[in-house]
Amino acid sequence: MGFLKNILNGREIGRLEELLDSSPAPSLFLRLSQLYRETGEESKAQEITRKGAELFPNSEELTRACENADRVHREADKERLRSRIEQYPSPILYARLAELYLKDKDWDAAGEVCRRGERSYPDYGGLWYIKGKIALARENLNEALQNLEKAVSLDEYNYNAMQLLADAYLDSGQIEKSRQALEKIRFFAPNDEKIVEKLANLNSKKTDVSASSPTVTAPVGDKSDKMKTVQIPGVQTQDGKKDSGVGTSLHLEIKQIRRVAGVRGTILIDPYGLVIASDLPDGMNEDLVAALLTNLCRSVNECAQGLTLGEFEEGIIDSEQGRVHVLEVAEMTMGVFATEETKAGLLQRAIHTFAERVIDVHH
Amino acid sequence: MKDVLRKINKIYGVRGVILVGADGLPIASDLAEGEDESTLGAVASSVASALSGTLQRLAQGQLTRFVMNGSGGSVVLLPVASALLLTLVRKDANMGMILIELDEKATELAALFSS
Repeated sequence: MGFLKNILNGREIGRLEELLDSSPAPSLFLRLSQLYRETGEESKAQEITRKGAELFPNSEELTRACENADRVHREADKERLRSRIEQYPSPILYARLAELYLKDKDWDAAGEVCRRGERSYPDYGGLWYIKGKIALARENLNEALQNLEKAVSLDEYNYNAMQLLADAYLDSGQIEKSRQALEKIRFFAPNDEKIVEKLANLNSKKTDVSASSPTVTAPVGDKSDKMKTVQIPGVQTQDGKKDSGVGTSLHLEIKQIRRVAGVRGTILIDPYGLVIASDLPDGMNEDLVAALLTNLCRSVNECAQGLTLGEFEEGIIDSEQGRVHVLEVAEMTMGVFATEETKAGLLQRAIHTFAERVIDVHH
Repeated sequence: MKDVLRKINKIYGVRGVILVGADGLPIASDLAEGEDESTLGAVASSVASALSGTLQRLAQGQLTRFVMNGSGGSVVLLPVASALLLTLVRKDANMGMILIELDEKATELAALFSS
């Protein structure tokens, strides 16, 4: 009986797909999506619903179907993340899980996940960033400011947290502080059009009196001088780095990539722009490198869409001083610094071996 | 210039090519129907700007080439004199061969700029 139904569904799917090509309509998208769901092709069903919603943005039924599909997808993701946290706890998994609850507007659950994560990983900025988002969703501006300030104090190059903090300052009337936060972003995202535009808007406003610190164009602190540019003088591994507990299991594996002749260093960055593991040459500021590469990936990803290249997978940047490979690994960003003479095949193999390990641990 | 771009477009795996000024305005192109010159020009300029800023902060010198691979194909961006050469490449193309040929053609274009 099921077999017969599948055949009939298959025929109906073919007929509806032809119809959609010639005369698309919301009801056809809904019917086709339903048929795919019945045949067990959930991802295809979601794809059809999304396509329909894009084509008919005013269709309430399609929008609702799309939201339902996303909810189902998120529930499955939550289950997967909870199970991963049990087996291989990591702060990124906590942050992702909290963000899923946040999307469902389940702020209590999101906050609880953050608190649990924070107990084991108090120095992971990503969790404070999510806590800031939760507070903003609850319209608690003071709490949001505290959490976001904590997030950027743990990682001064956290683009998302810094940008949200700039917006929160603006919402609380602290225009000068907002401007300072945007100036800091501009340091590690020098050509970010969104930030430049926001700064231009702010500069046309009056300065408030609540800000006490002077204007900065680069992050302050004892590292500021060497952060103006990141030198790559040698190949000695940097020691004594801060570790929020995210990449402990990957620190040894990442060093294997340096075995490929010509590789000078590697870094793995989480979806929040924070360092998971790195093996960079001495003198390279890993937080700044993470921020720069995250921001570059963001720009390049947008461009990939503009060029109809689909999702960004990998970029190979050649410059006068060498080569930088930037690639996406399970929603994370990996950067490899190498010379132009590095054998591409050997490097690809080393990268893939490491990427598989990353997926094992973090996905 | 148009001739050189036509030759690039004939390389197996290439699906379009455009030469744009640093400001993103198109200088010449050989694109398939439906490809929008001004969009491609703006994107090329935007990518180059993001890359240059990052390379500068990383003390890596000037950009000499950028290859971007996406799920639906690739692009190669080459600075040529003061302009940018953007080549659209199909997913299944032999990128090694294309890069060699593009380097040659970029030299030809640079010579045209200086003449």
